[in-house]
Amino acid sequence: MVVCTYYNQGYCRYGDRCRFDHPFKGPTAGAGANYRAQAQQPAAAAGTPSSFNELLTGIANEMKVWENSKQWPFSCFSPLKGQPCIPGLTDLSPEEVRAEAYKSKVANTPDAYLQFFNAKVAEYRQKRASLHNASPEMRTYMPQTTGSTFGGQTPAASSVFGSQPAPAAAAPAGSVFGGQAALPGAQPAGGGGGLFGKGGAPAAGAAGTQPTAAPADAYSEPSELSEQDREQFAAAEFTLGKVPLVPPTREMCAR
Amino acid sequence: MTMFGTGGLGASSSVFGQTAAASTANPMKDIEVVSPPDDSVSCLEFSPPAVQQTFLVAGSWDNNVRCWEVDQNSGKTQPKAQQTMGGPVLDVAWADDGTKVFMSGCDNTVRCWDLASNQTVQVAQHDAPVKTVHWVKAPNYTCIMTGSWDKTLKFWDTRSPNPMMSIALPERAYCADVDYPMAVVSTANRGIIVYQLEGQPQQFKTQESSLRYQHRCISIFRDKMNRPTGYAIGSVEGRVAIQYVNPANPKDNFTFKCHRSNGTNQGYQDIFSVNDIRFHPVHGTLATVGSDGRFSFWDKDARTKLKTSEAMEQSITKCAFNHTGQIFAYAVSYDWSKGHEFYTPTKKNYIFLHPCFEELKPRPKT
Repeated sequence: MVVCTYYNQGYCRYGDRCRFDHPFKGPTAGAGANYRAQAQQPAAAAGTPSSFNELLTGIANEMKVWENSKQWPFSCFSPLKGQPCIPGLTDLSPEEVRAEAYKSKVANTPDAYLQFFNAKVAEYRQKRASLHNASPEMRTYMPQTTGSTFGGQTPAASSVFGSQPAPAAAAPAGSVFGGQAALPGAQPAGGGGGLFGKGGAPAAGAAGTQPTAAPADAYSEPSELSEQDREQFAAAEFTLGKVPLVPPTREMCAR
Repeated sequence: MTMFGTGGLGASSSVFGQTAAASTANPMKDIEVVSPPDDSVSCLEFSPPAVQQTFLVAGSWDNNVRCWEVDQNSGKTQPKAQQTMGGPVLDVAWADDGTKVFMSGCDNTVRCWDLASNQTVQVAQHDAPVKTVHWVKAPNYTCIMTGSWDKTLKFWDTRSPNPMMSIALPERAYCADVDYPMAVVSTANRGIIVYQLEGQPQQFKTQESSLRYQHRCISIFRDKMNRPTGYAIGSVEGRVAIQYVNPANPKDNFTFKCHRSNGTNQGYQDIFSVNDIRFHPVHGTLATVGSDGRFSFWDKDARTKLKTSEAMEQSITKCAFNHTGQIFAYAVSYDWSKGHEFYTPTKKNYIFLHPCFEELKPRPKT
């Protein structure tokens, strides 16, 4: 299939509807740290995946890069520029972790810190793994943020991670940073807060519906559209920067 | 063309008379500040223009704030004084007249250090460690702005024990910068809030982040008319975003990758945190320092890299420019980016002074 030139340049106005091919470009594609090239294609750097599956593949890829690049593990994550973070994966800065360590040292309770640290390592590893494997909760959450036309549901955003079985990620037994000392028995985050240990009921309820939306769900309700969205859909062309993130209503599409 | 590899001080017309010997601890042959802190450096600031001599102040995880006098010509440093807080120090700020230094830390307080009398007094209190402290000098008021992990941003007239204003933040404050009349705070989970300080501090707008991982550092830059107009943010993912508060064109905002190694680990790059970003006070170009132990200079308008240093033995945690833009100071100490296992308390912490005026000149327009 012919590759779309506009998509290659970073933006194609037709998105999903484009007749040409939009191959997925990972957000961190390429090892080259060429500053100039990077800046000249700012949109392409984030990748504008034109399909839901491409987005999921992109996220899975990013999780892999994250695990292997020795990047700071306790960070939030957003799949696309300018979008909110995926709920459930929250920031923990190096200073906060270090402050815990120093507090434990002063109070002479080194085990408290180790326990805290190991629990966090396991918790974040588990969450990255579930993002990598694209859990059902994540599949229902994603359309809401990316504005893909797959499903107009608004699932409770409280738990993307739902209830997880014991971490399936093939994590090495050693330190998360690939260092010398092995962590003294990294425990799976069984009790890591009710939100992720047992899975929030709202999210589970929302996940009960089919992840791949039936056609009836592909349209928005009129009440879900903002004034700006309505204007955009009414216009002959979308304005850059105001492209609606939700699908049009059924009425708008009726011929 | 890169300046890299032309030899430490030799390339630029040396501000300093002496040259250091290159070693693995000091690969750039920079001036080493004497009597460095005993633990990681968390904050680093030069004295403001109001003070004739040059002073450097550094806060550390050893609970101390140290002050050195720096000789502008020789680069020689002399320890002047030091103060202690009730816990690790997280940030320092100078008053604009250069008579006081504010220090904030893990003991949830902010203290004011009067340099003349060498006394400190507590001036602010939060419910959690105070991560940022900045001096605000407005025509009709002066105060300090403190950001804390207790999710509040407070403004204090230092004469009163109660804040003159307290603003709730969406999340814990991680980094902030002030350049009157603009202030910007970045919180956990990639929050960015811009404040307008004229009249009285008020929230101006929240902005979306072009970065997709944890924010680490933020620094305001000015436009050609010398007015604050935007900010640079560094993240843990070896990336910096340049964002304008009111971009004329969406393409004005951009991001660039930095502080990454070549992909030698099964093709995966090592991705390091950007620990600090500072703009050169004269040229408007910027410096970034990272967990990889390197510093880099960049020209954001030409969108090019100017220079990258050799790698230090440990990460670089903080950097600072003196007000004339002649000296670039950077602190080499462990930033906890790999957890406690890579912490070696006995390893020496360094602060280096690098003559930088020539190296940070903007790339000429071709």
